Amino acid sequence: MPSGMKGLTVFVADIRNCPNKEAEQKRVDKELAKIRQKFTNSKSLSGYDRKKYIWKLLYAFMLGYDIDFGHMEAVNLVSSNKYSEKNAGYLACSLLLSENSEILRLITNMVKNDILHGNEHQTALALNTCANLGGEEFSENLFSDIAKLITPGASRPSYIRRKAYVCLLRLYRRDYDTIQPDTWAARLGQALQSEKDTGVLTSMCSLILGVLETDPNGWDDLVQPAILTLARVMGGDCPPFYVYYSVPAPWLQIKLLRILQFFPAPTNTTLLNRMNDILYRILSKPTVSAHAPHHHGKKRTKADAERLNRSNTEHAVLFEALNLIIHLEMDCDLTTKKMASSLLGNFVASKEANIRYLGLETMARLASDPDVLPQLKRHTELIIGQLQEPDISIRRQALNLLYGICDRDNWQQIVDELLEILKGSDVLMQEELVLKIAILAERNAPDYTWYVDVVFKMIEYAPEVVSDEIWYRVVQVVTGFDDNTDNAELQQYAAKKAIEYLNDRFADETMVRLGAYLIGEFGHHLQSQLSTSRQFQTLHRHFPRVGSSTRCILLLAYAKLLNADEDVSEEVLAVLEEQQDSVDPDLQQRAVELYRLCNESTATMENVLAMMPVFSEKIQSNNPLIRRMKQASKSRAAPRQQLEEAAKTEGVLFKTGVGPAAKAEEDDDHEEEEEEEQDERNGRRDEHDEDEEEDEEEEEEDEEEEEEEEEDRRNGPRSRGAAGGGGRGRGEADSGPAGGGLQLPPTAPGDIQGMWKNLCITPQGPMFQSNSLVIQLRHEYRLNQGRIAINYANKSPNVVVQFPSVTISEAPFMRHQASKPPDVLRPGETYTHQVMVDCLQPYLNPPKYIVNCVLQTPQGPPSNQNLPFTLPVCLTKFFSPASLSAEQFTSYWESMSGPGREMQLMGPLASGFVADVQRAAGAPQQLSPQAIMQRFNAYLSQGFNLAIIPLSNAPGVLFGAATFHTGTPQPNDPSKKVVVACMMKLELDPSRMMARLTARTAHPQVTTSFAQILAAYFITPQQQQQQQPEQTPQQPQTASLI
Amino acid sequence: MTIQFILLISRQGKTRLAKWFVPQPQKERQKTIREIAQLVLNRPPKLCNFLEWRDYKLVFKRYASLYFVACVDKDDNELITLEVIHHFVEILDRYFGNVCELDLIFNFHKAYYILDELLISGELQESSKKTVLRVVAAQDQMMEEGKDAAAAKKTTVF
Repeated sequence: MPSGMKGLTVFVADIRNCPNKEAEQKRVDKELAKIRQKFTNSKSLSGYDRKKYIWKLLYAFMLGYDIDFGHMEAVNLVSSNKYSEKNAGYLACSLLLSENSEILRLITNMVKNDILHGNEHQTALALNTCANLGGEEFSENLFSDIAKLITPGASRPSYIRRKAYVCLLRLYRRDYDTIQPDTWAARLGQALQSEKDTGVLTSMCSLILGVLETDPNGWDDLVQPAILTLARVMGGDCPPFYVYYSVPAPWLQIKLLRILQFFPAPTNTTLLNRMNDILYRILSKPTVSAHAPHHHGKKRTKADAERLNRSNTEHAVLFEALNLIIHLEMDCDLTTKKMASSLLGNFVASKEANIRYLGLETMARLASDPDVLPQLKRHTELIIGQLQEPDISIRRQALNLLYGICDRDNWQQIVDELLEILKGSDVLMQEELVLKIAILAERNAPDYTWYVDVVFKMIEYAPEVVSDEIWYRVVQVVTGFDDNTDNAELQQYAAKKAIEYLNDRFADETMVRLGAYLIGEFGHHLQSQLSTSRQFQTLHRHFPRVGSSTRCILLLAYAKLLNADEDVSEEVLAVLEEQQDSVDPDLQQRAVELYRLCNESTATMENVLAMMPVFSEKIQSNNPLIRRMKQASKSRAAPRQQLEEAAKTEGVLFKTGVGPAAKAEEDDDHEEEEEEEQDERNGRRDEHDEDEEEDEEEEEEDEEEEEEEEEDRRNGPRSRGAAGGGGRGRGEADSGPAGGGLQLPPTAPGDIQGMWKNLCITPQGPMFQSNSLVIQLRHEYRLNQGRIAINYANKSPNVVVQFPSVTISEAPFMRHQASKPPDVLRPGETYTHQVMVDCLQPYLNPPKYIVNCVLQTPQGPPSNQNLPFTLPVCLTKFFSPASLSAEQFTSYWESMSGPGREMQLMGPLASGFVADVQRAAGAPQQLSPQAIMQRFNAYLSQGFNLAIIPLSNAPGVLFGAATFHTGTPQPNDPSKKVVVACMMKLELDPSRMMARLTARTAHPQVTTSFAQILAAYFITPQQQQQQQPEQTPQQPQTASLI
Repeated sequence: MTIQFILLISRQGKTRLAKWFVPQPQKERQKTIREIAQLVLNRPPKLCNFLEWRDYKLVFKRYASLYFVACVDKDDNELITLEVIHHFVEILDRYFGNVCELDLIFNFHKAYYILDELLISGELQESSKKTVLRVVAAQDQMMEEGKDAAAAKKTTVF
C-alpha cells in the first residue's frame, strides 16, 4: 500500500478532531478558500498538488459540502500522463460529475483515447468512468469503440472485457436502440456459450439482464446457452478463486437463473428437462444453517462467521431458483414445486431473521399458484405469528403473504387476526392493514353483513387511517349492484349498525360520515324499530363537533330523512334554516338548496331525494381499493416506455417509481427569480428559442448555397466544417438552444474589435483571424454561469504556433475556471480551450484574455505576438428575458426612477447599426422606420436576452425587461442568489435618425453598464448625450408615456 | 440486479464512503444519506438485514463501527447483495490488513479505488477476491513508480 499524501492526512485529521459541526464547517471553508486560490493560478501547480487538492475537495464533497469548483482541475488530471494523476482525475470526475454535466464533453475525447490507445490500466480507468457516469455524451461517442473491445477475436484481456460489458449496459440504458436483438441476440448467445472466464461471464450476464428488463422479445437465442452454462458452472466447472464459500460462482449462477425468468419455459423437452433437473438439484442440495448446532460460548468464532456467509450464499442461489420455479408455474415438475413449498415452510419457521423474511416474501409470490396454495395454507398459524415480530420488515412481509393466501376457508381467521393487529400498529403499517382488510372482507365474506361489521370495526380501531375510499366502497356495496339481488336486509343491517356506533357521543368523524350516509339513505328500513325523529337526533348530536364537509353530508342525510318521513320536517327545516346563515359557504349553499327543495312540490322533492339507484356491475368488479394496492407484477420486464421515461428524467434512480429529483433541483434555480415572472418567462423563452432555431436553420442553408466556400473560410463557426473543429465532431448537434441567435454581417479579418462586438451579442463567431492562426469562440450561458469554448486552429501549411502563455485577467466581479490552455499547434492542428465563468457582481469591462504566441516559420526567425483579447462576456450575457405583463412592467418601471436607477443616452443612430439594418432588410437603400424597429427588436431580444414587453402601440418605441443573474448569495438568505431586474425603453425619432435609450434598474452599476452596452450598438459614440437623472429628476417625458 | 448506491455510515452518522451509480443532485444525496442513517442506525440489533425504503430495498450490515448499506430494486436478490457487501469488506480487510474504520477514514481514496475494481455502474464486475487484489496491487505499483519520478523531478527544480 503506497503511503498517503501528508496534506490530505492533516486535513482529514483536522476534520476528525473538530468538536462540532460549526468547527468542521469553518475548517472546510478555510480549506476550500485555499484550494480555490491555488486553482486560480493553476499553471504553477504540480500534478501532485493538484491531485492532493482534488482529494481534499472530494473528502469535503463526501461529507456533504457543495463543491462548485475544481471540476476543471479534475479534467486536467485526466489528461495527465502519470497514472496516479490520471487515476485521481478519472475518479474525481466520476464522483463529482453527473451524467448530464457539461464538463463530460471535455473528457469524452480523453476517455475515447484511453479506451483505444491506452495501456490496459488506462483503458480500465476510462471504462470505469464511462460505466459510472453514463450519459448521452458518452453513449453517442463511445458505444461503438467499447463494443469493439468485446468483438470475438479482439483478444483483449478479461480484465478489460468484463468492464466493457458493464459499460455497454450503462450506455444502453441511455439509448435503448444501441443493442437490438437482430444483431446482438446471436452474438451474445455465442459469447455466453464460448466465454470461459467467469468474471467476464458475470458481467456479460449483467448486460443481458439489463437488456431483457427493457424488452425480452427477440432474445430467445439466449435460453439454451444460459441453461448450458448454468449446468456447467453448477457442475463445478469453475476456477477455485471464483468459488465463494464453497459455492461455485454464486453471482453468475444467480444471474443465469434470473435470465431464465424472462422467458417462457422452453418448448424443447430436452432443454426443459435440463432446467427442471437443475432446479431439482439446487432444491435438494442440503444447505448449511447459519447457526451452529451446539452453540454455547457467547463469542462468535471465525467458523460461525464462515457458516453465515456460506448459508447466505447457498440460500441466495436457492431463493433465485425458487423465483424461477414460481415463474415456470405449470411447466415446473410437480415434485420440485412441492419441495419448494415445504422448503418455504421451513424458512418461515427459521430462526434466522433474513431467511424468515425471504421465506415470507417468496411464499407470497408462490401463493398465486393453485397447485401449491393448499400446502401453503397449512402454514397460516405460523405466518400469523410473524405479525407479532418486533421487526417491521418481517411484519410487512407476513401481512403481504396473509393477503396472498387468504380465501373463503380461512378469511375469518385471518381478518380477525389482522383487526387485532390493527389496534396496536404504527400508522404506516395501519394504512396497509386497513386497505388489505377491507379488500379481503369484501372478497371473501359469505354475506356482506360480515363485511359491514369489519369496516365498522376498522373505523373503531384506527379511524384516522380509514380513507374516504374505503367507506365510499361500503356505500357502493350496501347500495347494491345491478345484479338483481335484494339488498334491503343488508341495508337495514348497515343502518342499524350505524345507529349503534353513533350512539357513542364521541364517535369518530369518519364514523359520522359513514353513519350519516347509511342512516340518511337506509334509515327508513328501521322506522318500525326506531322513529325517524330518534334517528335524526342520533345524527344531529354529532353536528356541533364535526367539520364542514361532514356537516354537508349530515344536512343531506336530514333532508333524506324528511323525504322518508314527514314527521321530522319541523326539526329538519329548523336546522336547514339556521344553516342558511352559516359562515361556511359550502354549508350555506347546501342549506339553501335543500331548504328550497324541501319546500318545493312533493314530486320534485321525492325525485331528487329518493334512494340512490344501484351501481352498475362494472363497479362491483372494479374495486378501486385493489387498484390502490401496489401489486408486484409477475413479469420481470418493465414496460420499455416506463424505462425510457425514467432514463429521460435526470436524477432518477434506475427504473420506475421515483419522482424526478433533478427537476426539483432545476426548480430551485428558478426560485431565485421573482415568482410571478417565472412561468411567463419560461413559457415565453421556449417559444422564442424554437423560433430562433428555425430562422437560423433557414438562413444557414441559404448562406451555404450562395457562398459556401467563402463563408467557410471567412466566417467559420457558422458553417459546418469549422464547427466540428473543436474536436468533438458533432458541433452542429450540440449547439443546443443557444445555437440560434442574431445574424450579423461578417467582419473584416483584421477587425478584432468588430469581431468582439459581434461575439458579445451572438453565441458564436470568429475572434481572431490571420493567415496562420484562426481563433473561434462559442459561448452559452445559463443564469449566472457561462461556458466558453475557444477554438484555436492552425491553418497554415508550415508555421508552428507555440503558446508560452494564455492568461485570463483576475477580476473581483467574475470567477473563472479554465481547462489547460493550448501548448503548441502544428500545421493543421486544432485545440479547444474551455473557460467557465461565474458572474458575481455587475461590471462594465469583461476580463481580458491575453494570448501570447510565437509563430515559427521554417525559414526566418520566430515572431512573437501578444494578443490582448477581451472575453466577449458582457453583462447582458447573464440576462434572462423577463416576460412581464404590461401592467407589471409599468408598475416596476414607475417605481424605478431616481438617481442611480436610471440612465438615459441619446444620439444619432450608429453607422454600423444602420448598415446592418440595410443588410438585414435586403436592400441597401431600405431604411424605413419599420425596418429599424425590427432590427432593434432582434438585437434586444436575441442579442441582449431581453423580453420585449407588448406595452405601447406607438410605432417608435420598444420596451424590454430581463433579469440579471449573479452567483453572489443574498445576504439575508444565502440559499438564493442576488438578481437584479433590468428594464429599458428604446425610442426612435425617424425624422432625425436619432435614438434615445433609457435604462432602469435597482442597482447603479447595473444601470450604467446596461445602458452603455446597449448604446454602444445603437448610438454613435461621440455624439451620445447623456441625460443624468440628477439633472432631470422628474423625467416627465418618460412618465407621461406610460 | 443493479445496485443504486453504496453507503458506508459510521455509528455517529458520518459518511465514510458514498458511491452513487445513478445521477443524484448533491442536495438529494445528503437528504437520502440522512434519511437512511436514521433508519439504519436506529434499527434494533438482531433483526433482519433488509428494509423497504421508498420503492427500493436497503440491504445493510454492521461491521464493527461501520454500517455498509446497498440500495437495490425491490425484487433483487437480497442475500447475494449482502454477500456483495461482505465481499467488499473482505477485500478491504485483505488489502489494509485487518481493516478498521480509521483506515477507511484516512485512506478513503483507496476505498474508492478498490470499490471501482469490484463494482461499476452498480454491477458486480469481479467476484474473485484474488483477481481484485491483484489488479489493485498492480495499480499501486504504477502509482509508486509515477511518484518516484515526480519526486525526482521535484528535487531538480529546487
